[in-house]
Amino acid sequence: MKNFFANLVLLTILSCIPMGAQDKLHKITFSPSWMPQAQFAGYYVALEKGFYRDAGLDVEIIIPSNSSPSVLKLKTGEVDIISTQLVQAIAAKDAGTDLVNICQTSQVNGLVIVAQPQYTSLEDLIGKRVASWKSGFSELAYCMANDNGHNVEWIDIPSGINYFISGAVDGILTMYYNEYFQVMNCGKKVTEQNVFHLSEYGYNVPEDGLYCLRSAYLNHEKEMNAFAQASKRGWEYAREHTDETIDIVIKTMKIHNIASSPSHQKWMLAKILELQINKETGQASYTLDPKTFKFAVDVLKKNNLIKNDVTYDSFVSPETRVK
Amino acid sequence: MKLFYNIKHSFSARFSLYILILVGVVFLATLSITYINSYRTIENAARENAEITMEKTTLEIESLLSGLSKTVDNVARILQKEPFHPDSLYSIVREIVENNSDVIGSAIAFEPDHFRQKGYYYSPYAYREGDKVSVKQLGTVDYDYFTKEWYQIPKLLDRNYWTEPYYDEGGGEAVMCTYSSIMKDENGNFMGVVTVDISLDWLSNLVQSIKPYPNSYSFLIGCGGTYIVHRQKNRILNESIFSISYEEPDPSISQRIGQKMVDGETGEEIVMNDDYLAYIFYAPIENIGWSLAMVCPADDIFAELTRTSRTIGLYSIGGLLLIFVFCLIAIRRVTSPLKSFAVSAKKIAHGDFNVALPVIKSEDEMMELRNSFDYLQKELVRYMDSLQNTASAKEKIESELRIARQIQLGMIPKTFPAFPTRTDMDIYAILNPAKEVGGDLYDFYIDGDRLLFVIGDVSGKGVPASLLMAVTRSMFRSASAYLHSPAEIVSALSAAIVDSNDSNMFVTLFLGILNLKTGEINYCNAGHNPPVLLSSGNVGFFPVEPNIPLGLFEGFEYKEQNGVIPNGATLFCYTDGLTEAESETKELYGEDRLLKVLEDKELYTSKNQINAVYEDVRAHVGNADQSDDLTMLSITVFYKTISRKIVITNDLSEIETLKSTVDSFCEEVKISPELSMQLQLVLEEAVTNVILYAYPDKKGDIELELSQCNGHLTFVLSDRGIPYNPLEKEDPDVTLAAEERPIGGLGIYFIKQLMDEVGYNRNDGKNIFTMKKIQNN
Repeated sequence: MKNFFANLVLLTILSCIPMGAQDKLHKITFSPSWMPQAQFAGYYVALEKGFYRDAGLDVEIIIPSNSSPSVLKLKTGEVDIISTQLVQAIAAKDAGTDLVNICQTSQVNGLVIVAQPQYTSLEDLIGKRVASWKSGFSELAYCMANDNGHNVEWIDIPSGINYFISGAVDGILTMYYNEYFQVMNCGKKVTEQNVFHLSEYGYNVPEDGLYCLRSAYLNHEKEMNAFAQASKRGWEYAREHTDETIDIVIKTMKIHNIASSPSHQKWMLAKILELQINKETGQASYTLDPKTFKFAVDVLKKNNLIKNDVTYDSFVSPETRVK
Repeated sequence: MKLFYNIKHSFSARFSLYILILVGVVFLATLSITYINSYRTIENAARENAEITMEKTTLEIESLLSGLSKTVDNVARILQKEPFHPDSLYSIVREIVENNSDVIGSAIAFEPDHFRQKGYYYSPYAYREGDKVSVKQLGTVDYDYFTKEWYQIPKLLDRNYWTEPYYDEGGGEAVMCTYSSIMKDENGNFMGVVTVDISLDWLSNLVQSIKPYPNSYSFLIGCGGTYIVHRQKNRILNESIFSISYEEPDPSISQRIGQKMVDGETGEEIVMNDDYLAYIFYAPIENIGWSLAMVCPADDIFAELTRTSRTIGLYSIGGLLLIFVFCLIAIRRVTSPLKSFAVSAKKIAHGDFNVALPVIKSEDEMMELRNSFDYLQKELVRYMDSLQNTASAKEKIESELRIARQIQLGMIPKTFPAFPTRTDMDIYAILNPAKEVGGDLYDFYIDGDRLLFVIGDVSGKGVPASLLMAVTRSMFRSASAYLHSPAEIVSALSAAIVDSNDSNMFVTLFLGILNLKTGEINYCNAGHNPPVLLSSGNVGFFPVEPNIPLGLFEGFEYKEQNGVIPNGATLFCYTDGLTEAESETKELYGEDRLLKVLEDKELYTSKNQINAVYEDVRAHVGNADQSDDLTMLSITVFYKTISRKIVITNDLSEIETLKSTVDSFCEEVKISPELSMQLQLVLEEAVTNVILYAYPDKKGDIELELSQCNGHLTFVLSDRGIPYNPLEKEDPDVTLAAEERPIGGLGIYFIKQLMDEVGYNRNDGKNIFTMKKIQNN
């Protein structure tokens, strides 16, 4: 039951910077989209290695919760910058939160449907039960099923894979970097035949990116871009120093009393870094591709998840835009 | 190093080591078999023990879980059938909690809006709060139970369900799991669930109490391999047996075991767990899909065996050492006299025959050895005594033999030139006995113009032969003094030998009387080898009647023969020691080879002839022992000679006389100018020498005779001066430069080089210097 962190409010990383130096730094509050784990390794590394301080920033990472997700924190002005998924960000923009993408870390969608061993194609799952998170992040899978006319019985679950282990569902929606590892390692005789990456079915909508409010961006463009740059530096460092990165992540998880499985975190870091590589360029661009963006908007609109068109230029900061 | 030395040199150490090795091998084999058997027994016992423990534990868990599930199933069944008031459910859940000490909470949860009056959520819930049991309505906006695993999964499965363990933050703050029994209405529609929550603390305690060995531990995993109970708390609910496999050196081990456990199998694996070998036993908990495993380090299982083996091993080593020491001492004790014997033997070897032998008290082989040693000692003393006597006797004999040899050789003429002043003949002989003394003989002497000579061979060798040889030689001298015919002399000799010949020995000989003026020869051959005649380029045997050897029969009539030796011819006599000389391959020298080697030796001096034959026979014999006495006698006669004799005084002015004499001699005998020159030089040198040194401070005569016959040139230089043998002077070192050489000696060296043969005699107060040269025109 993950809602135990509902009680965690504004856990802060204590800064050791002397007061004199701190005066000159610009204070930034940042909220990743979930609790500390390797999914956000780049930010924890940047903090730990002092990349933010080098960029003239005094960054405080604020952990979100189910009741107070990062998008809400941004909307309420509780934090300056958040990390969230593209679909969530577009939905928030459509709903009136005027946010701006200042960095797009994810390039490949990580959603994977894992089916029980007897199902070897997506069509096999028509009319079958597939578990998905009730807390969100599942929208793209719904869209794909709708678009294909696949009538799937989506079962809302809080989290975890016990539904799948017990056989209560025929398939489960997982994150490639997260639950996928558990599902593949739970003694179920699941193979590559039973896994379906959404990105391989034309639904390659990138995920995590960094966002701030347009107003904040207009006032502090330099600092926002500096945060994005320092974060990229953190990710690049993580890519070069995976062992040290895992240590930093595990340490951070311990500080927040979150049980950690080193093997799982290693898997997560490896896959997160893999998903940051653009399939076409073979590189981590940290930018949002306009075509991909338009596809995401079209899919959401078609499925009535958003009402209005969202334009690329209004969504992406000038610094990050791809011409 | 000392140990190796001991083993190599000490019988006791070596033998003790053999015993040690043998006993050690037997010990080791026995221990190994025992160890292997014990190992298997213990392994089987551990296996059985594990099975029993696992079975007991799983049964305990199953019975508790099934007890609870039956209770809940009963409530669910009743609620399905019997009508009830929603509020009465609170007392039911309270009762369930109160009546089951293992239960920490119980709920009856219904589908949304099941009771119109109760709203969207209705779920009476009882739970422990300290010692008392409280109740509340569980479902709220904040606690939307419809998606909870304990509610939704049994609903989806359409059957009763034990949830996977989870950490409950709301109620017990403990690891717990929930059993849900589903309720359906009369139409078979899902109505809700009846649940009990149990804390897994008791399960944790129960599982962790399974500890058959000090370092063994047990763990429990859920349906997906997640740890439910593990001694490492951070693994519980956080890691699975599959996820931790990636942190291990070989992930496949944990994955394999995990798969079998998740599949509900019962089994056993022996694996390298972390750094040690461990036995892992596992068995499923039926009906709930969990699996229990027990990890037992092999070191623990076999600890007792290892300890016992170690103890036995230590005792064995101790025992082996004891055996070794005992053997060493015992064997050393038994064999210690051997050392003393060895010392005694060494002393005996060094000549101390009376050395004391070790005292042996036992009546065993050692005593026998001592007696043998004692006997050996006495025998050695005796033997050495007799050996000493024998040796001195032998020494005496040898010394006598040496004297005998000298006497024997003294009997025969062995000074050459034998007759230096006689230029009408050239005689030379050698006698080489095979042993100290021999049975060969030769003799010759001149009576007027007659040369009497004899060569003979006594049968056999050594002392007996030598004695008969001496007798024969003496008789030859005495008989030839009054008898003038060779046959008469031979007959007389034969008669004398037959008379006194008890040992059946015989003598072959060839006896001749040669007239040096005419070359006429009367001779008698008594069974001896025919001499070889070298004459006018021909080589052949001299015609002889064989007759018989001396000493065989009395009254045998020996036939005498006569003939003429041509002027300048050589009569070469020998004994069978020459023709029968054996080579290393036992081949005889033979007459043919003798004739062959003599073929071109006519123009040789007698001495050089004999030396040439001797060299040839030596080459034939090689390294073989000389088988028989070897004697050769060569006589060359020159009864028609051209000779010149001058007498000069010791004045250097006489050299001119010498020169003219030599010149006219050379001219007369047609000597080549070159040789003439050489002869001039040689004779001048020789004569000058005599002039200068023979007569210090007084006048004296010097006589030189020059003679030639058939290419044989003979020069005899004599004086009555002080005795002086120029041949005794050492040859000068001609390899040195002239100025570096000591003064003198070069003249004589020069003479020796140019002449074929030179000789010196001191006879009748005269120095006689003889020079011979073959004229090769």
